[in-house]
Amino acid sequence: MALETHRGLRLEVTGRAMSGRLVSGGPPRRILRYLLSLPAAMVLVLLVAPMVRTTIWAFRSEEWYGLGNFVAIVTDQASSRALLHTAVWVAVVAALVIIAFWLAVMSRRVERWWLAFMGILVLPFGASALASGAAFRLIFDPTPERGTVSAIVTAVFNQSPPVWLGPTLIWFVLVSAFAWSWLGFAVSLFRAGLRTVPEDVLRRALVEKSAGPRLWAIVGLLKPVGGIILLTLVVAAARLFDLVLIATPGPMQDEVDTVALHWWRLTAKSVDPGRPAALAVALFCGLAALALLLSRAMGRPRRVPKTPPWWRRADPPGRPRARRWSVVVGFVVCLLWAFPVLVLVATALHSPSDAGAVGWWNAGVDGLSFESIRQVSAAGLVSSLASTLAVALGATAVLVVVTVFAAPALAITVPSQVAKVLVAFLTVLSVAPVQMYVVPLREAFTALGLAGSRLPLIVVHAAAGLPLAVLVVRAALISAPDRPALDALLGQTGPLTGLRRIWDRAGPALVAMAVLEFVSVWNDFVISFFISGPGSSPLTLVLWGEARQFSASAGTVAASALLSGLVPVVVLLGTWRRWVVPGLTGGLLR
Amino acid sequence: MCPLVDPRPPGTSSPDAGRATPGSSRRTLLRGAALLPLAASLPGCSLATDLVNPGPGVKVAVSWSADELAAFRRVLGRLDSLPGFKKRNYRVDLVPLGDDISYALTGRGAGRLDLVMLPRPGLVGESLDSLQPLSPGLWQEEGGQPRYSAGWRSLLFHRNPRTGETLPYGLPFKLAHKSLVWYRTDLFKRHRLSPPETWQDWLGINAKLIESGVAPLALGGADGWMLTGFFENVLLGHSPSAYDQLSAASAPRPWDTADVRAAFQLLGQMWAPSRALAGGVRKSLVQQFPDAVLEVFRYHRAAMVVAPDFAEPIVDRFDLSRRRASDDVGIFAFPALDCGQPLVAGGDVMVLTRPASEQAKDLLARLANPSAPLEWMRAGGFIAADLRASQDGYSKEIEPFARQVHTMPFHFDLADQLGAVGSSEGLFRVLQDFLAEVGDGHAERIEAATDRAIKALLAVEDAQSGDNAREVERRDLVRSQRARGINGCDGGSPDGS
Repeated sequence: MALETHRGLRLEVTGRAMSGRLVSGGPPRRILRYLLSLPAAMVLVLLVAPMVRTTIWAFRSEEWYGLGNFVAIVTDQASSRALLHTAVWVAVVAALVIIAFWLAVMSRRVERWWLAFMGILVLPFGASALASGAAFRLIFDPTPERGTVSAIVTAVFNQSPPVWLGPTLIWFVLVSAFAWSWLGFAVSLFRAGLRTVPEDVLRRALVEKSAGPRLWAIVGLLKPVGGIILLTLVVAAARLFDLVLIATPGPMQDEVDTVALHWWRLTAKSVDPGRPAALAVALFCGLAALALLLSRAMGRPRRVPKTPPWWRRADPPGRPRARRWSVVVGFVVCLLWAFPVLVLVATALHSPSDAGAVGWWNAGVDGLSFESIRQVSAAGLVSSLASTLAVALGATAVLVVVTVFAAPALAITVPSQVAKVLVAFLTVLSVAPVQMYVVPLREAFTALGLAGSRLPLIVVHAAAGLPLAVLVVRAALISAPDRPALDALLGQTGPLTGLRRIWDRAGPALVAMAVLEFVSVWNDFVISFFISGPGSSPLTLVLWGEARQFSASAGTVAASALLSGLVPVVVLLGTWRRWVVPGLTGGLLR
Repeated sequence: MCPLVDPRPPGTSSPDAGRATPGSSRRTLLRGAALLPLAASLPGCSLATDLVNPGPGVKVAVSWSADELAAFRRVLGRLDSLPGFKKRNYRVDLVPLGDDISYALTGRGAGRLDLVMLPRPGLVGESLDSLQPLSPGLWQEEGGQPRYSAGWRSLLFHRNPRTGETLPYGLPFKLAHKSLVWYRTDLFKRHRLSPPETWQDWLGINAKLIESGVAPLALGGADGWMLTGFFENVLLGHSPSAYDQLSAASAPRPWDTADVRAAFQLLGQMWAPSRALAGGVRKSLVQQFPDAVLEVFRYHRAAMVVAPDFAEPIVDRFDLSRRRASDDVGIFAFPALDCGQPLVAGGDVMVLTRPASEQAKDLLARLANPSAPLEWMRAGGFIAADLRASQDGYSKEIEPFARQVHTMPFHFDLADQLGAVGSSEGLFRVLQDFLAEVGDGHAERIEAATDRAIKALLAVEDAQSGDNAREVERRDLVRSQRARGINGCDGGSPDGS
């Protein structure tokens, strides 16, 4: 007698011993899975093949293969200094992560206030390095008539201001600009992570006087999100390139040379690709080791409870003084973070001759003027932004399509060892610096005759964003203990239910990756500069066309930063709370 | 649906047009096939074709920025209406590269720039492999009359490493008068001073100004070329022969001579007194060229600035007295030293990267037309390198100096001839360190700072040249020094040959 369930499982009561081979219960349609991941594999070859080529260059020495290039880097003063500076940046990032954690914990005391503050904190994350560099260089201009800080020092202490853009203080300017861009991202993710912390633990940490040990307990609970934040920020710091170029006066650039920047100077100067390649490999190895280490240390993900709407959120009971303190800190940080935006806007609304001579607070001779904005529009900024828009949309489209096929395929890869290896491989690829693949790629595109076209840019951008996108969307798919999305993928539900479940789980993650891809391509300087050459992106045009003699062109630089920053900031702020944060944390924390 | 057409517009024809090789047609096909879905998915056909292949164009790299860039853009905009030229059938992409312009010559492949407006002609000789030699006919008028001053010749004519012919590798475009001092006439009047004729006069004026609480000089030390300009004028005024020797020699150059030492010491006299520099040394080192001009003419914290003729648009824009009827801006020529008044000129030359397209050659020919830069001349800050260019465009105060560099023999900017040694790694940094050491009242350190500067320059020379070459050339140089005698004012021919 046989019994058939609705899912086609056939149960049979046997009257004899069972025989015959066991039928495996593995996922069906294995071929389909391979087919689905084919586009992703093709795109990733674009990263892997040139990385292999770069590695070969790095190890090639005059006779055969060896470590000669690496020895040359370590012994060369300029190269080792660049490595040291990058290490300093990693320390800076660590400090920044601690500050972000502290702010996030503090923000839980007065939930509603901080919801408003977060919008302003996150805004700079959508702005390009050009905007942040320009804003901070304006603020720290050493001439008291123009620089805000110099003006304050001169007025309050009645003495000549320190030279902010000089050899040591330039570090302060750069770190401020970096923190301005990234703090909102880190605080936002920590806040999402804190929701996974059991309420009673959090309350006790916030209420009790000796909060130290309690906070440590929270740190332990926040390992996954902390790891992601640390990794993202370290990668961002290791890639520092355009920020240094825009914010640092020419002769000071050596004082703050980073590996990414030094790599470019080496590449442009030397005919032999060995030494820059060795520098790139060294950077890559450091990042890859860190990424693997962090992804192993992150521990088991936890489930994030659904967020209540803001009007239902109750603040944890706390001492009123601590709560007032939290509001004050939030307010100050908010003002500080809004200030560079004000500086950019006010400077852009000065005529070029006023912006170059007086600070943003001074009406100058011409008063309110749109001349700076008119000049950058006349210099072709708008049309080059249109081309940027096309590249950003193209790259995002390619990324989304490829991820939609590849992430489910990776999610249902069953032998867990294979899945682990694939995930580790993608993790390492996701932190690979541009310097690892860009030179061989440029040569290949030139040989193919695609030099003048924007198509290589689209594909390379998509490839650079793909590993992280696949990882995040896959994590979202397999999240939650009952794995409802996975069932759907394995065909154990009806098609409509299946699609709904998949979208519920992975939709935000996919949107988040699409938004981040769009914003990063829009703000990209490095990839378009290396692949298509100088002049291919509006940011390179501004950097060398306007910012070379920075203060004299303050008006046009600020106007360009403002115009080019509008689109990504609007896109990011429009999607941040509803899509990006849940999408980023959903897969990683659940 | 938009067809993926041949991007070349109908008017242009390249040598291999119509003769599709199997490889190229397959490539086109592959490219088309790969792009079809993308092109269809993008909004608007024109955008799609633009992304796929933007058509023939000439990429022009320039070091100019801001106002100068805008002026050059206007020059490009007028190239269609030049007498004797038809409308262009190619795009011109302007690529500003600022101080990183030397990378334009090393760019290969996708980023290759076709036409480079090079501010450092010394790089031409170093990059012959990547440059396209030009037709010598461009150098002369049809009657054999030269179009450019003789001083350019030694910089731009080189032996073709492949054929052995000596050909021009660049055409001068812009000339810069670098022996000028801009000053505030109202301040000079108030203190009853007149522009100095000699170096000693100048030091005296500075001392008087310091006494009455005015900083005499503003320096834009962040732009290393402002410091080298100062140094070059002093060296040339002190010993033209030493100047010529340095510009003619190949690495390692003879820096360790009495004349170079003397030039550093003279410079120290000018820079060292305390309160001589507006804002002190530290500010001078982060200040760029326009900042220094503003210190004098906008913020009135200094009396003079040593700056080339192209400071004019900055002064025009930022000096408030220019907007009123009273004009407080004056210029005097760099005062004379032991061997007379120095005349240093700089400039930008046009070079083509190899292999040059027909379009790039056409663009070069248009820019070499004497009436091409007229717009820029009128806007101020431009002296034409072409001797045939009309003299009407110059402002009243620049006109005599423009005539001077056109008619008198000039010495070309030394740092711009030295390649890497004359750039940020070499002379720029050495002079910045020198300034940092002696400035703010440390005249007693001049001797030691000079030693250090010369040592640093020799070290840069060493690093730049290979060991073997170094040995050979050092021997040659010692011999030539002995033969020529390095002291004395005579013996220096103006074009450095």
